[in-house]
Amino acid sequence: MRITHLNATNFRNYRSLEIDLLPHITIIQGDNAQGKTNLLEAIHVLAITRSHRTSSEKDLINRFALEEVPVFSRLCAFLTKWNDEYKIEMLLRLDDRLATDSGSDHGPASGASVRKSVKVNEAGRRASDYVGFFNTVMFSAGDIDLVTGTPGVCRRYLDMVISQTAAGYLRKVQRYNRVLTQRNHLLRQMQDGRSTPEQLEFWDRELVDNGSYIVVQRRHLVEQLNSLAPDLHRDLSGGVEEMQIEYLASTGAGDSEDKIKTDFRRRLEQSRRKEVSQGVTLTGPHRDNLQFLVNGTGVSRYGSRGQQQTVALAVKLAEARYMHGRAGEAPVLLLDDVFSELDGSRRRHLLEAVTSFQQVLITTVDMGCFTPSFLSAASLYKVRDGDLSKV
Amino acid sequence: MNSDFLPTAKPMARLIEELHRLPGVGPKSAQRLAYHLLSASEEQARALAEAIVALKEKIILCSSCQNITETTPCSICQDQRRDRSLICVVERPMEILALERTRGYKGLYHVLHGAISPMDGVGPEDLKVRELLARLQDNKVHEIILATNPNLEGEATTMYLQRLITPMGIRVTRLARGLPFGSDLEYADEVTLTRALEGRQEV
Ligand SMILES: [Zn+2]
Repeated sequence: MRITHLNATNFRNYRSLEIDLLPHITIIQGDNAQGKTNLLEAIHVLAITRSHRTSSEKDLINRFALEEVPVFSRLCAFLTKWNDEYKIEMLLRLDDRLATDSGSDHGPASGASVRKSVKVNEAGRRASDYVGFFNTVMFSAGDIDLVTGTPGVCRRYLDMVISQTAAGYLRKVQRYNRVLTQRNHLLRQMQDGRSTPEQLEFWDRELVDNGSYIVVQRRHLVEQLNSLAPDLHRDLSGGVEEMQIEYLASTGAGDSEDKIKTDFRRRLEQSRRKEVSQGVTLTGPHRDNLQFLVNGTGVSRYGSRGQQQTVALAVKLAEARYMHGRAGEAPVLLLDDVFSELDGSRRRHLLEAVTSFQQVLITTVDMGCFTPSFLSAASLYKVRDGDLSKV
Repeated sequence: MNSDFLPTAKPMARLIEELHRLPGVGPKSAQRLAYHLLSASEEQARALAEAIVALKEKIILCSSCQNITETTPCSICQDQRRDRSLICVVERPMEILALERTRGYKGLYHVLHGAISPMDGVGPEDLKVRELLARLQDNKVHEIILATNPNLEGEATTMYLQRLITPMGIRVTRLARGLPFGSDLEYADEVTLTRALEGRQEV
């Protein structure tokens, strides 16, 4: 799939952005803080309805637009998917009213008063049903956090990928999170005797049912990534190192949904007293983690920065291949200033790996990252202070 | 006080603040409403104020079904043509209006005034459950329809009540699926509600 036209209004530092996009490689050159990343972010937000950079959606709205009425930001793209044309559109509106209605898609955690709405060919869609319609894979300097960061980064990563490939996953995650919040409150109420253990039964069942589904999906994704990433990693690292992703499920090693459910339930029973005294749920996919191994050793702790980078890159490339296979059509690749940190050989391998995709958008500070032949086949743009011009 | 409010005359500020507390009314809407009321006639303002006071003074809960009413028992509970062996349990009074609009339901109601939600501090003891159980003591009720909202909290409430009532030998059913998940009963259309009622199943 590919984007033929992108139009953004009041998004980050763009008051108005219009760009026609060709297939294959597009390179956007610009100094720091001119709006390169914002352009790729706009496309990524259109795909997953949220930002990979901020949890505050108000940040996405242009700061001058915040002074206007109504306060809004709009993203719109024309998309070619299986030779059909689609118009996809997302509107962010800063709402005057408080987020009081509980029936909305936003969930209780959003707190912010930004309202999102998504349309495909002018028809409104629920965000949880829409995600996955348009696939992108974003590569950024922050990808290394997947390997070195907190378990939360790994879980968000898994959820981001699966929500694009498994319909209904996002809704299960939302439901699970709400169950978790309710259950934790109940545990705290049991602590001071305001509630009884029988009250847990419903929430335990929901926790296990929704949680086990999440674990099954995550395990499946990790298996898929493991079938693709080691080869890519071997190429990137010069063929001497063997990488492996290990899924550390809080519910245990079981792989069938039934086994996961049984283990999950048993662990809940075993830790009941501890859970009540701490007032938190101690087992479940909200406690999952990933471990990245190179030649059998955990690379987040013992690896060099170069090793960590290579592993992260291999995982992202594996993600792109996996999405391609799953959707039957290549996702749009977004590479945000990732070449400057790579050495010559990894740079070459990455460029080689991405050229086979239908559409790739690359941002860079330094055009010297690319060979003349690569540049001659690419569409070139320059961005300065929120203004985009063709080179 | 919210910084969105401009400095303004005290009675104005007070009204804006009160309006802002209402669900769905943000600072800007509150200001708009307050200025509208300022320009409205004296009678209109008084009528609104009296309507609000009357609501608090005259509305009581029906001693039987816990619905809001002016007289207790309420008109539905008093209506001898209604089927007294059937009670439909809802979360809020608004849902009775929705079900009455279908014209197909001829039983009685019971309003819980909420649903189980630990994060909001609402447990079974905060709902009108004891009042419901009291109504089941005389063995005249043969079926309880649990018509809580199709969301997690509604489901938790349904499961709790079903555990409580089934051992009493009373048939416990719930509305057929078909209501969109997460939607409120209050907003369901009549056809959907009628179908949900007719297709009700044993819990
Ligand atoms: Zn009554």
